[in-house]
Amino acid sequence: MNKTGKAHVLIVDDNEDILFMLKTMLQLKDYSVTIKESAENIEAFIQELMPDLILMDMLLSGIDGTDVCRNLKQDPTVAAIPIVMISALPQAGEKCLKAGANFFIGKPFEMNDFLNVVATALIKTPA
Amino acid sequence: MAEPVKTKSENLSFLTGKGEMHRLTRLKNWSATSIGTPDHWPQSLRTTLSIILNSKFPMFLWWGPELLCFYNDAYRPSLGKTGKHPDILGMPAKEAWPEIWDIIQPLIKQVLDGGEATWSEDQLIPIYRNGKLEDVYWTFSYSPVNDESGNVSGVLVTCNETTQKVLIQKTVEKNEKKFRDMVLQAPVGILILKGPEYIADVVNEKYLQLIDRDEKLFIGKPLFESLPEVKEVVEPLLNNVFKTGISFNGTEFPVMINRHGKKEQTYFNFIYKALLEDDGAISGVIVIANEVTSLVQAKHSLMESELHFRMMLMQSPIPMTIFRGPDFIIELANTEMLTKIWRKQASEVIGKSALEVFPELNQQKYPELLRSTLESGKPHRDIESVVYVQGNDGIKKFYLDYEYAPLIEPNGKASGIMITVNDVSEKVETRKKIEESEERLSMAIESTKLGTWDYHPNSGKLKWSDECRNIYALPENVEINFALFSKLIYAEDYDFVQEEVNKAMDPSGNGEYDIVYRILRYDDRSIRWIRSQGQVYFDTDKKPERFIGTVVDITDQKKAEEEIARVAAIVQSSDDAIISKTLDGIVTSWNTASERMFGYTAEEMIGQPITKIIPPDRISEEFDILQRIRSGERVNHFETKRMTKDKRLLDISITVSPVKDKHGKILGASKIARDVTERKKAQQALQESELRLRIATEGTKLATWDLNLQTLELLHSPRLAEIFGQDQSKMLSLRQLRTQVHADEIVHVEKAFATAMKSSEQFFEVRIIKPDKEIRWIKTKGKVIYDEKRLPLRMIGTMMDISEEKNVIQSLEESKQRLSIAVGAAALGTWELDFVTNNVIYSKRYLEVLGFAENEQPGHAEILKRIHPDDLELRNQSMTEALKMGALELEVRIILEDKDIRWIKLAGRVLYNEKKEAVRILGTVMDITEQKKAYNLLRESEERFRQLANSMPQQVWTSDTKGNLNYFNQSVYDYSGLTKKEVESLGWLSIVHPDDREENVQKWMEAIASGEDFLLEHRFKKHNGEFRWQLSRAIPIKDASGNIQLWVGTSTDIHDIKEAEEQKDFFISVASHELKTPITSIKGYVQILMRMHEQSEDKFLKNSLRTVDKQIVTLTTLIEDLLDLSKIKSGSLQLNKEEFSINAMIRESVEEISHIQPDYKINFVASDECMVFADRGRIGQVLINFLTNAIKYSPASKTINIENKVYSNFVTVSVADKGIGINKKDQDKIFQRFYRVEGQDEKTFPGFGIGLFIASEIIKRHSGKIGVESELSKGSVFYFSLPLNNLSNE
Repeated sequence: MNKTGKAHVLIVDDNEDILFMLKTMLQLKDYSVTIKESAENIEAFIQELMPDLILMDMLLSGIDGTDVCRNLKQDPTVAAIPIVMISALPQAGEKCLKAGANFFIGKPFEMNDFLNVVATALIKTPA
Repeated sequence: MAEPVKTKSENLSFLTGKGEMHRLTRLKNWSATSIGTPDHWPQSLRTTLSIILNSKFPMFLWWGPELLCFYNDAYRPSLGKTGKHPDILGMPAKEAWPEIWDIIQPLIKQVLDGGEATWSEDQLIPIYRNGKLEDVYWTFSYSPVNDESGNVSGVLVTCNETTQKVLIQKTVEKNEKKFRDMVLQAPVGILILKGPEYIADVVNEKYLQLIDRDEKLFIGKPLFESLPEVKEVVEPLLNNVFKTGISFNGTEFPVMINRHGKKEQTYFNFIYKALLEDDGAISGVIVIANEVTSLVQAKHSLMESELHFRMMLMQSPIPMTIFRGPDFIIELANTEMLTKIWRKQASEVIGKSALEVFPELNQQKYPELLRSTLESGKPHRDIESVVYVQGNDGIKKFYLDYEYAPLIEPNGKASGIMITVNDVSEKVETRKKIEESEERLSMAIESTKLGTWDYHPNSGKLKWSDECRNIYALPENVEINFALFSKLIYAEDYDFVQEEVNKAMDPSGNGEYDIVYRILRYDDRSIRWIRSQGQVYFDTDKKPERFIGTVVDITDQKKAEEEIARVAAIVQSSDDAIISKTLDGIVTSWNTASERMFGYTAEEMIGQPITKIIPPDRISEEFDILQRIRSGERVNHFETKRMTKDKRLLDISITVSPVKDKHGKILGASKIARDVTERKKAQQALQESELRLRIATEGTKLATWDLNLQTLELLHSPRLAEIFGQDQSKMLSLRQLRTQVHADEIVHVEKAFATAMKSSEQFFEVRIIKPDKEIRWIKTKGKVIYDEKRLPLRMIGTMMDISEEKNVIQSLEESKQRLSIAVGAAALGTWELDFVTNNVIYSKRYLEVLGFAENEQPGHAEILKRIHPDDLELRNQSMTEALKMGALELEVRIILEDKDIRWIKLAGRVLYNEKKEAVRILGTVMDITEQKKAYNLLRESEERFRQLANSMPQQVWTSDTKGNLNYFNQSVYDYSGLTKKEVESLGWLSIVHPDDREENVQKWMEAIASGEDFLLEHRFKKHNGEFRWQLSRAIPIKDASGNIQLWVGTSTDIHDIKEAEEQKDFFISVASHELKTPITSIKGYVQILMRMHEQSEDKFLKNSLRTVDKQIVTLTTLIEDLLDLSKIKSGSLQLNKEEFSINAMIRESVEEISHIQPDYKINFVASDECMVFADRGRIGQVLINFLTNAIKYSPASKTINIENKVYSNFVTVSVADKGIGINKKDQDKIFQRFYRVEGQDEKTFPGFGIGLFIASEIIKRHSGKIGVESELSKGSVFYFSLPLNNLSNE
């Protein structure tokens, strides 16, 4: 939690539309949101930001999101941050969970489902 | 109070006395009263008072004009303890008795006025006493008391209180009334008679009814005046009671009564009782009568019926008896029982306990049954029960139908048992015998594998026995009828069978039916040969009524025949030496193999003794062999040595068989000498052992006989008569037997007898004719027995029916003969050409083959003219060559007179003279046109096949039945770039892609083993090294019997199609994935907008958003379906199985659909909860698919029902709608890819039609079932089921 008491969610997606859409959904629920459009320097960025939750697409222009996920989970400073991964690829879920993601959401999804997953992720892994 | 009375005591003596009233009257202050003090009282008063006060009788006195009251001590109690006494003394009457003044005042007045005394008895005069008004009864008298002047001055009351008496009297009256009432109302007749005349005093209605009399005419009259008819019987009884007082009880007393207008015999239970007065005197008689007429009558009729019953029982033709009581005392038993079953005298059993009389019953079940019948009161019945009874003539076994009928007493308990027995021993035993013989018959039929059938032409009913069904492989549940029977006839034989059936059923014929034909077995349509024999029975109208017969499977026999032919062919083509000779050992034929083997030519050997090739030390062997041949025996591969022309000894095995003519007469022997390979040895051993077995099984039926050689009297066992087809009980004479010997055989019999007389031993095998004209072979052996003078006395021996053995031997012989001599002679024409004279000698068959008439005698030139001009050259060349080589072999065409061209085969052997000049040629001729035709046809068809195959772009190949590929068409070579030799040496598998070889071989071997079509996609290597996909398919080609002859396969290049398909699947996979991201975005924004405008009033906006959202769901589903489809196609549809509750899954799906389609009502009846192990998401997808379809195709009805049921290891989930339904013809197809029901209505509904295909694939992958039941415009029920038993199996 940041100072305002709102949960802080970081969204990493290279698709601008999706990024904005996810942000809007989360803001409807009063989350504090930070967005990032590429996986560039993502680890340092997260170490700096220390969000309460990371929301990340599995395919990030040329970078495999599962690799990023795996690295984050091996970094003790950020490993505790829950990661929710999103993808449209078949069998992506299994891959993401193997890589250490706490949750996975397949595209397309219902807004309610999405928000439920985010809320659950925040409860299940208290910082 | 002062006592003034004392002062005038002397004058007041009337007041002296000890009584209370004396004292009270004395002490009373009278001065205040109207009469003044006593000293002033008149004498009349004084006197009266004196009397009153001294009287012990209750008395009262009113005196003077005021009627002042006086009373004495005796009266005093009537006034009670409290109340009037003593106040009313000297009180005026009116004041003293106000309560009764109205009653007494008139009486008093009457006395005062008239001076007349009154008398009242038991008059109720209530008076006030003891503090209350009491009812008091009085008997009293008021009498006047005159004063001195003679006027009535007072009223004297003398009274007696009678209250007690009156009350007692009243009680008595009441009791009597009660008694009378009781009498009158009593349910039994009661009559009270008074006095010695028996006057009817009281009678009740019941009694009057009994006697049918009127009360008015009856009461008050002497009894016997009213009922004179009973006087005689009843009077003495009444008199006795009346005199003695002793009651009389009469039970069921017969009385004749005139009533209801007639005389009736009645029965009464009477009680006559003396009527006693208080003093004990007898004043009359009480009669209590109860009519029991109907009871008595019932009793009488019961007694009568019991009598009848007993009489019936005693006279019954069925054995019957009655046992009484727990000891089963035999009360009675009828003659039948005594004589037939018990076989005992009545005196031995009656009155005795059954179990003592028949102790043997104690060891049987009967005592217990009797006891239980007696205890339960329920009858017991048993049929065909076995019982052993000890009669005077010993123990006997019975089969009895019996019944134990309990004899029930009025108290409901059984007091005895009536036993009826029906002796069914004879019936049962007869039936058992029939059963046994039927069993034997059916066993016999079974052991012969004989099927039976029974056809009723009128009803068309056809019945088959089990064996018949076995032969046809017809399952029990399939009903046989004529149509099915016809259907199971092998097509080629159909017309023939129908014709034979019709012939048999033709009333003008004899109804016989005996045919051999082929059938198709029901199960696998394999062909069997059967022989069916039957007989049609005609009714009186000459119509076929029944057609009964037997059927036996003779396929094996047929096969055996074929086998023999095959063996013959093998032998024919082998290098065996085949020689025939006469019974004297003279060689009659000598084949080429013999020439090769022994070095002698036929010419050198024919007409010569066979001993020529036998080494000198083995000459005796030949005699033995010939001896055995003469007696009909054969010599089987006798291992011996024979000598060649150049004196070499050969180790050979010979088989010598008798050669017989068609009558079985032995003409000579055929001898086969062969190199016996191990295989053939084994084969022969098998044949032999089979033969031995058959002989052994038949050999047990040996008959014996004993012939007296002096009298020619014959004794024999019954079996001998049986062999001769005669009644077994008959003893046959020698003469009789001789008449049955086949005429041709008499000589053998006589010879055998003659031999026996010399050698003492007799042996012969001859044919006999049974009375039914059947010819059988018998074998008999005998031995002569001599007396001490060595004279033949008797001959004893055995006899056997050896027909079966003979038949077997004969068929073997026949096959041997065919291969040695017969075949050629029968089928071939023979000819002989003399080179010197050009004379031709020929057989009939020869003429026939060459197309000449039987009576024609064509010369050599004429014969040559028949030869086809084109073949004449060939003929001449061959002949020239034959002259050099010694043998001719030639196939030429001939032209018959009718221009018909035929092929013949000529063979011949040239005979030379000593100068080595060809003299003659002996030969055979055979018409081989058919063979040639067949061969040409075969060649043509094969050629056609090759041409066709080669012209096909596909690769075509054939294989033998073992899977060896033996032909490839040109395309195979063109494609692979290999030559025929290369394919042969490398093997066809070398063309197949290495990765596909294992599957290829496996699938191919499976197809070969199962005989099912082969189908496989695999890659073949092209000549340029490229591997291309091929679809190979091979089907087995079967012959008429259904046996696979060969496999024909094709391989079609599907490489380009497959590639296109793969590209398409890849495209779909990528495209659908690429579609998902924009859809996610659209969906997300729509849902954000919906959320933001939740509270908005703008209905259009909200509806539009909802519509977009709904359509996105549809779009998503379509994309998912497309993806699934490509996964299914590529085989990458993964299942993530887990254990989950089917009900929970259904509820979730219902919720999901309800969310999108709130208009529809989805009912879920959760009946059976269960856990399944499956892919939860995929199963949910199937259910969602069912539900969306149900919604899609039910525009009118908004109700959908879901049900789940567990049944036999499966859980079935069904979704029922009341929609448009599906046509029957479409129901199978809707689970196919891209199939959607069509029609006017259906077209209006959207959808890809792949949902059900995917659902079906998903369920298939779960080893489940999917299906639909539907009716047009009524609705559909879609269901799927999943197995339950594979929980965590995977």
